[in-house]
Amino acid sequence: MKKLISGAINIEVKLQQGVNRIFFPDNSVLRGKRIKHISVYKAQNDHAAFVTLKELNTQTELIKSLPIKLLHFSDHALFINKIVDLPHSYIDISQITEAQKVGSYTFIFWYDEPAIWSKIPEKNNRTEIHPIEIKLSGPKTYFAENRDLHNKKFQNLIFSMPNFTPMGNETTSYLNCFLTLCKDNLEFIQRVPLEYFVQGGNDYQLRLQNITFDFQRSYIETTAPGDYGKSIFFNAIIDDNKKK
Amino acid sequence: MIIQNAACIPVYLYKDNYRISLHNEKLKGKKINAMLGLTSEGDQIILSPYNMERLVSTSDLNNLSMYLNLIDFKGRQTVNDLDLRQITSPPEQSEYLEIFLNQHFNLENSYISYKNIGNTESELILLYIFYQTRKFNKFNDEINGTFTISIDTTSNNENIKLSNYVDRTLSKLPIKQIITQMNYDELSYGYLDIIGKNGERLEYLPLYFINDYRSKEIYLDGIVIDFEKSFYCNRNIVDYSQMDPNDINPIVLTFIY
Repeated sequence: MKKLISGAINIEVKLQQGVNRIFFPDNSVLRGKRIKHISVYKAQNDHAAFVTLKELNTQTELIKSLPIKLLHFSDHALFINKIVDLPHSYIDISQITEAQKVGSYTFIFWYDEPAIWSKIPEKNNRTEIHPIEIKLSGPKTYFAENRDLHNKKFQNLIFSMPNFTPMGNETTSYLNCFLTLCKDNLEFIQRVPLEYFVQGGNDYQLRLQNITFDFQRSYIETTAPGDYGKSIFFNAIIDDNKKK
Repeated sequence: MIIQNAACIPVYLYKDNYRISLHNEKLKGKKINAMLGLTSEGDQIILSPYNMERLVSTSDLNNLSMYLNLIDFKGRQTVNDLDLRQITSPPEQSEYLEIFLNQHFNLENSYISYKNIGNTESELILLYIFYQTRKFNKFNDEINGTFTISIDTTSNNENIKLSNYVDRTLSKLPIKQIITQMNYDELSYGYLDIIGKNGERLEYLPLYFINDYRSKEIYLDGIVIDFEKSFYCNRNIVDYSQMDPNDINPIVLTFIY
């Protein structure tokens, strides 16, 4: 079962020839934050690369040589639950041949962002469901303001690809698309592949911890010009429990 | 998901129409807990328990662009354009989203909007609306006991009374779960039509929803089943007259209390 999260950051790690150990880059947003899950996105040679994470508080390598094959974001995502010293954590690629040390690994760090989350009522048994449609207009398309959903607490965003949206627009696939959600100046969901929001085939869905975001600062990036003019469609699951 | 009552609603999506109301007399005044759709999938053809009509296949759902809209009695649209495929399940998989509604809806004003761009004049899905008529029992999945029955079928369209197979001494037990072990190659499809002694009703609950293949389990809210009034309804595409009786496997149901 996936854990409650309130942030997710995309971190790219470039493979380098002649280097067997690649350290993660420092990331100011993740500094001091509790990591819930780590996922690797479409990784090559995932059987031959191993992640070691140094825990910040104890400065010990509690997660040692974890095959990145185990980090594909399945229903059984590993529950990391640690504050990680990222610049001292690394990927061991010594088992990858020099010729294959090209390209990069894309990791998503799913974490707790106290500036964003709010408590989910213990008896969480009522939700509202609303549509969100973004018509892609270029490489970066911002969400349109949505007064109905202003300050609502989101528990999930479910990507959906019907032939036509309720507005009658043609939809496009999640491929080549990345989502960034922003609250004030904090990009707490940062370039997360839209594929992670396709959840129909999962036993366990994503669990956002009643997050809020600013629509007009949040956006979708696409690397496929053919998608311009087509729509991305989500159903947002929103907390509808009575406030105590 | 824990269920207490289920209404099985056949939803016809006609080519020249764009909206269907969810108005239904049997759901009037009921608190709705959840909803789940059922479709066929590929060569797993599912027949309606009402009239043996084929349910639309998941691959054809894309031609329908269906959206669920639920409106409460204050006029608030709590469910707004939910892609119905997200809560629709083909027989073999539990690829659906569990939604938690738990409120009263004005079903007269609630509707499914759709756009049928397929080649057929109408498509059919079954929409299961789970509702409650009393407070839910405190849930505990600990097994107190189980019993299993094997039902022999003789026709592709028959209703078989469960009391023919259940010992009377077992009829007072609050049932928490019913599980079947269907082999999809055998094409033994059917529904359970259950009446509880405390007024509960599970209308044509498909065996696929309670098959042990599925990772998402459906529990019952401790229903004391009136086996005299409850049935297994076989709705099978196989022509029994063409089959060797030895090739027809019984329907095995395990009741957990």
